[in-house]
Order: sequence, then C-alpha cells, then structure tokens
Amino acid sequence: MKKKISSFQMFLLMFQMILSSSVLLMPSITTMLSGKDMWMTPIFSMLVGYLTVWVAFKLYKLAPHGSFVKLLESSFGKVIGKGMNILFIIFQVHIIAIATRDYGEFIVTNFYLKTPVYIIIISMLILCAWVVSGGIEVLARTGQVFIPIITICTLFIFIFLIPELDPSTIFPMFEKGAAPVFKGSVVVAGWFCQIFLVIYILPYVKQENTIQKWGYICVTGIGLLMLIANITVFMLMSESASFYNYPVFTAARYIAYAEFFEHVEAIVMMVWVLGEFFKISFYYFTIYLSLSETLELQKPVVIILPIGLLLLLSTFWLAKDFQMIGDFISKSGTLYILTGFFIFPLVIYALTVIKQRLKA
Amino acid sequence: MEANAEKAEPRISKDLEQSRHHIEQSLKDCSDAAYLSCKLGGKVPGMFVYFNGLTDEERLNEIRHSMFSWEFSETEEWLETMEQEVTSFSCTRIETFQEMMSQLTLGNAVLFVDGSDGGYVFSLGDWRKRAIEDPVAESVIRGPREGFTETLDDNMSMIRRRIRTPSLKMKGIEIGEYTKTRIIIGYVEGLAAPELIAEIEHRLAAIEVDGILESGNIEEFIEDQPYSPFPQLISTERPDTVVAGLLEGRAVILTDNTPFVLIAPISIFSLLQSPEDYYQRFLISTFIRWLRYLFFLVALLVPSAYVALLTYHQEMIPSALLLSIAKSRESIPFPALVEAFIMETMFEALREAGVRLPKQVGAAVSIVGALVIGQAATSAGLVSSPMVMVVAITGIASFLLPHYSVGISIRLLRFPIMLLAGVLGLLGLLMGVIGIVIHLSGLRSFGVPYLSPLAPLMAGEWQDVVMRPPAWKPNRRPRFTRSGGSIRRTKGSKL
Repeated sequence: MKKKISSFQMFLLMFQMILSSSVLLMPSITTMLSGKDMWMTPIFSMLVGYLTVWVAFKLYKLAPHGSFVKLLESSFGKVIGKGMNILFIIFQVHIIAIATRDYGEFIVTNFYLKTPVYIIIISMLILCAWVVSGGIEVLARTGQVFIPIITICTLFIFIFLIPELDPSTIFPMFEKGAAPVFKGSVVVAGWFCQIFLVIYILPYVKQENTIQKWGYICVTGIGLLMLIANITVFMLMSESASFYNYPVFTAARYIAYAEFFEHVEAIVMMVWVLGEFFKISFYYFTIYLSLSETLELQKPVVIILPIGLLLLLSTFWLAKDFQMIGDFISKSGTLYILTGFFIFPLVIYALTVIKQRLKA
Repeated sequence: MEANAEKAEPRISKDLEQSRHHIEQSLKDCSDAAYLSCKLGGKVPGMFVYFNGLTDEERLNEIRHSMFSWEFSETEEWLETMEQEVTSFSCTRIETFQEMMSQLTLGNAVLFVDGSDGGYVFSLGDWRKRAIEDPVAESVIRGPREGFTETLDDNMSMIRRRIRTPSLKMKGIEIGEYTKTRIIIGYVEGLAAPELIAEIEHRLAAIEVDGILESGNIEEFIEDQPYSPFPQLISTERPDTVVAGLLEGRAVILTDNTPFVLIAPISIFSLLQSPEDYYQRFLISTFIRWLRYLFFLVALLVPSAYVALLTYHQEMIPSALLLSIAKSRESIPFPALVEAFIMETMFEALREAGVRLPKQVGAAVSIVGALVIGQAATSAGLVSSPMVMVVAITGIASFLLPHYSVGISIRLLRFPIMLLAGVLGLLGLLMGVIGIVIHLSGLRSFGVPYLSPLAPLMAGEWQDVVMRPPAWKPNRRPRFTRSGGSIRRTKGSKL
C-alpha cells in the first residue's frame, strides 16, 4: 500500500468529518438534555474522543499491514472475521445513510421547498463517488482546499454574533447537578467516537510517528469548536435553542451589519454542504475500502457505483420522514453509534491483546 | 538494429556521375533543388547541391571560385589535401544520402567530389525570417521586450544568452514522419530532476505523427490528462519566462517554426503568475496577485452567482438593490438563466470575431459589439442592464489572467456552472465548484500535483503563492526539482 497523505491532511479530514453535522445539530439536542449546562458537554465527551484515537492507533499497530479488515480476519478466523467486517460495513452504511438523509432534509426544508429530496441526495452522492474514485489522495487535497475555508466561515458566523450574546444566561452552573451534563455528554460522544474510522486511512499516512499527536490535536480542535458553537447558541437563545432543529442556522439569521451584510444563511448552507460532502465522502471511502478488502477484489473501482446506489436506497429505506430520524438520533441512536464505534473497537482490542498474551 | 539501418542506406559512391544520378532520382520534381558544377583546382570535377532560397548563393559562388584556384599536386594524396582545404571552410563530412537530405533542408549546401566517397557540408543556411519583436500575447510594462520568433536557432540563442553556463543543456530530437520538426528539450543540469527529463524524453519519443506544426500539437500528446479543460503546460513566447522556469528546475520544450515554448511541470498557480510580478515592487506585485486570484473567481462564478441569487435566493440581495434589479428586469421576456446564456454566448462570439477578423474590419466589430452588449440591447428590452454589467465584469476578469490558455478554460467552465446554478441555485454553484476542485486535486502535470503548493501543502513554497516574496528573502526551490527544498537565494547584501 502506498503512503500518500500527510498526517496534517489526515487531521483535516477527521476534523471535518466529525464537525460537519455536529455544529448544526448538537446545540439543539444538548440543550434539550443538559439545559443551562449544555455548553460543558463537549469537554467531557472529548475524553471519549481521545480514547477512540488511542485505541484506533493501537489497533493499527497490531494489524497486519495496518489493515483493520485483515486484523479481524487474523484474530477471529477467516469466516467469523469476514462476517464481522460485513456487519461493521453495514453499520457504517446505516450511520452515513442517516447523515445523508439529514443533509437532504435540511436543504429541502430550508431552501428548496419544491425540489424532491432525492435530487439533492443524488447530486451529492455523484460528487462523492467521483472523489472516492480518485482515491484518498484526491479526497485529502480537496479537503486541504475547502476545510480551512469552512472552518473560517464557521468561526466568522460566531464572531459576528458576539454583539447579540448575553453571557448571563449560562448561570447558575450545575443547577440540577451533574447528571444532565453527563446525559448530554453521552450524545456528544456519539459524534466523537466516529473518529474511529480514521483507522482505515492510517495505512496511507506518511509520517507514522505524528499520527497520534495530530489525532489528539484533532479531538481538541473539534472540542473547542463545539464549545464555541454551544456557548454562542446558548447565550443567544438560551433554553429556546432546543425548539429548533438547526439552532446555528437560526442564529445566523440574527447577523446584520451595515444594512448590506445580512441574510447569511446561504453561507451556513454552503458550510453545511461542504462539510457533509467530506463526511459522506469519507464514509463512502471507508465502506469502499473495507468492502473491497473483505471481498479481496482485484479491481475494486467497479464497486464504487453499486455502493453509491446502496447508500441512496438506504437513505430512503431507513425512515419514512424526518421525524423518525430525529427521534432515532436523540434516543437510541447515541447508544447504537457508541456501541459500533467505541465499544466494539475496545472489545476487539482487548480480545486481540489477550489472544496474543495467551500465545506468548 | 542501427547497424542494419546503416547497411540498407545507400552510401555516397566515389563516382560523381553515379551520385548525381542518385540525387536527381530522389529529388525528382523538386523544382527548387539546384545543382552547381565546379572544378576543384581547375581539374577535379565536383558538384554542389542545395535548395534555392534556403542557401546563401553569393557566398557559395565565392567558395566555388576560390576552389577553382586551388593547387593540387598530381600525387596520390590529392584527396587528403583537398579535404584539408575544404575543412578551412568549417565543413563536415557526411557518408550517406539520408544525411545529405537532412543537411539540405537545413539550408546547407553539399559538395560532392569525383573520387571521394563522402559529401562535404557547407553551413550556408540563410533564409528569410522574421525579426525579433515584442511578444504580442504577453506584454509587460517593465521587463525585456523581445519575444521568441519562428526560428529555432534564434530562440535557443536568446535562452543561451541569459544562462551563460554549460549546465544549460539543450537536447535535440526530431518528430514528425514528414515534417521532421526539430524539438529541443532544455533544462539546467543540477536543477532539473533527471527523472523529469527522462519522462519528457520518453513521452516525446512515443509520438508518432505525420507532422508537428506548432507546440500545441506536442502539448496534446504529452500532457497527463488530455480530457481536462486545464492546460498542464505553460506556453509562452517570452524568453524571460522560459529562463525563470529553467532556474526553478523546470524543463522547456522548444519547437521549430513557432514562437511558443512549452514549460513543464507547472501548477495552477504558475498560470496565474506573470513574469512582471518579479520586476515590480513586491508589495504591488502581491496586491496584483490577490487581485488576479479574486478575478479568477469572478470570471468563473459571477454570472452563475447572479443567476442563482436572482432565481432562488432573492432574500440575500439587499432590498434596495433587489428593487432596482427587479425594475430593470420588469420588461425582460427571459428568465435570468436564459438571459445570462444569451449574453455570455454573445460576448464569447464577439471576442472570437475580434481575434479572427482582419485588422481593417476590426473597428466594425467593436461598434457592433458596443451595440449588442450595451445600451442598445437594454433599451431594446432584450436584456437587463445589471446583466450587461455582469457580462462586462466577467469579460474584464478573464482578461486579467496573464496566460491565455487558463483564461479560455475558465470561460469554458463558466457555462456548465451557470447551468447548475440555474437548476439548483447556490447549491448547484457549490456542486460545480466542488467538482472543479476534485478534478484539480486529481490532476498532475508531469507527476507534480496541480494544486501544489497549496494541496498538498508544501511549507516554504506557498509563500510564493499567497504573496510575491521580496527578492532578498530566502526562498526554497520547488520540491520536484533535483535538490528540492534547498535554499534558492540567501539574504545577500540586504542590510
């Protein structure tokens, strides 16, 4: 396998992969669960992020040729290993189908009321298929062009909101004890644990010794941006943030300068579209990569389009309407995603280490 | 292989009559071939062969006369004496008729002597050529004013004069089954990566074609991704641009009979830089560079943004402006997308007409152009005045790009993005931009990523992208060069 991307590029991709949907969705859910203390939730969830990066790197070091797919096959036997891989791939398909549907619904309900949602989703999947067929290198470079722009735009939205903020809304802290904060943190951890997917691109990273460093920087950066988003949203809307599906989007409507610079929702849309583009592409790439490795394909390019079709169908199969998705995300979804991206890797790591100890 | 080819080639015979017969056979129906008999030392018969108009006939006659008065002794060594005499005219000896043909087409005269199994080439090439003039397509305010011409040797001399070191290498090859066009690969040894030169040679050698008329023919054969709308080599007619490229470790490809020289490898940022950037004060050049980046985006996106905003996102336009746009669009029968398409197509057509037309009719085009894209079109109620403004701005923006080839790619890409913007609004526009960036991320020019040094990010190199660094600031060589990343200039005498 050729080493193609730098650890900085890896950092950018992971950074955007987690942030894309979280900034828009998270403030609403955390306000619902944690109330006044919602802004603290990312701080505690970062621990899960650090742990996930650590376990991903450890598993990468254990794996033959750094391939997670091969690791499962070598530790649990070919048949069970392949079965686990397929299950894990289906799990990823499910998660990304939810995110894709979410993206489509957001665009349709806020901007293109008369456009069918499948047009929005198909156009996005076509772009993702294109970048995936170019390989990790192209994805990383595209990220290098866009991700700094996305981050700067996001920060600017929050900076422009500063005059509207009321800092007193966050007090008193820990009004209802630590339990609500913990509840909210678990939901936020559901975003952080997705960083586990980095394991699939680690074999492509050139500088192995800086992977862990950039991984931790990545988690810290995501945490900081989430913190900024949460604080801004709560100081702006206080508890009413939970009534909106996309509080940051609503917040952007408050921005008005010099009677000219106003209605910047379209910028939020662009940030969201670009962010989701990277998230979907990344999942698409990991699904493509792990499926072609599991099936041991000679010419893996041929499965790109079928995977796209699978993603498209799953986005409509998984739920009848947006309410069902929202319900799933805020209730069982968190536990579901944590099981797949946090507990599953930890168990695999524990079992592999034990097996190696027994052998030795 | 080569030995076999040599054998098959007919060699020049000792018998002058036989040689003459052979030459006349192969040059049958070439009415510009000329034969001139002479007598060396008044005794030995000889013959000059050359092409009319390619050779300096006056000088040839002088040589012929001086030969008549040579003194030959009647010994057996007369052949050696003759060869010594001939060498004083700095001529070379050839063995085969094929060599003779390539010498003749270069304008040289070939002498055959009875009793000698070789031809003697006199370098007398002298044909009509254009004088060195201002480069037409790339003018500068400050900078050298000479441009390349159609004559390969003149072009090589212009480069050689600027890099006075034996490290400047110029490898020559011939391409074209019939044209036998001379191609020169130029590079500076020690700066250019040997793999790059090998790769270029390899790609050039693979070309099999009847003829090469312009470097554009070669460009299409050797670029990495022929289906891309973006140029993957720079073509320039400025010697200083070529020399700057050579000093950066790039390779250049000179083609005979065209003033346009190719430079490779490049990135998209090389296409957005003008040689004058380095001659003006660095603050000013930095400003102009940013202006260029801005207008690069303007040329690509403004018509589509206008279409998207008017069709889908009216709320983003400030109310006062929206009202005035709405007022001017009141009587327009077309939707914004159609209006934009008509006007942009009109503008492209006018520009193309302006380039192709003879100079005498050119004035007519500008008059008609002013009518079509201007007040008359607005008062006729066909297009709105904001649309005229948008077209004018994009027009100016595309003229701001220093290299014509990238300007034309932008003009082409504008249309699909406009269509996307008309179908999906800003989302469509964004999709178009993402698509272009995906394409550019995958593109390479002779193995060098097209978006470098931005993506992949190369520390130290990108300062030449975000600004024009001051000349005294240390900077690094591009990473693709042989000593990639090494310090290129030091602080020098700057205090």
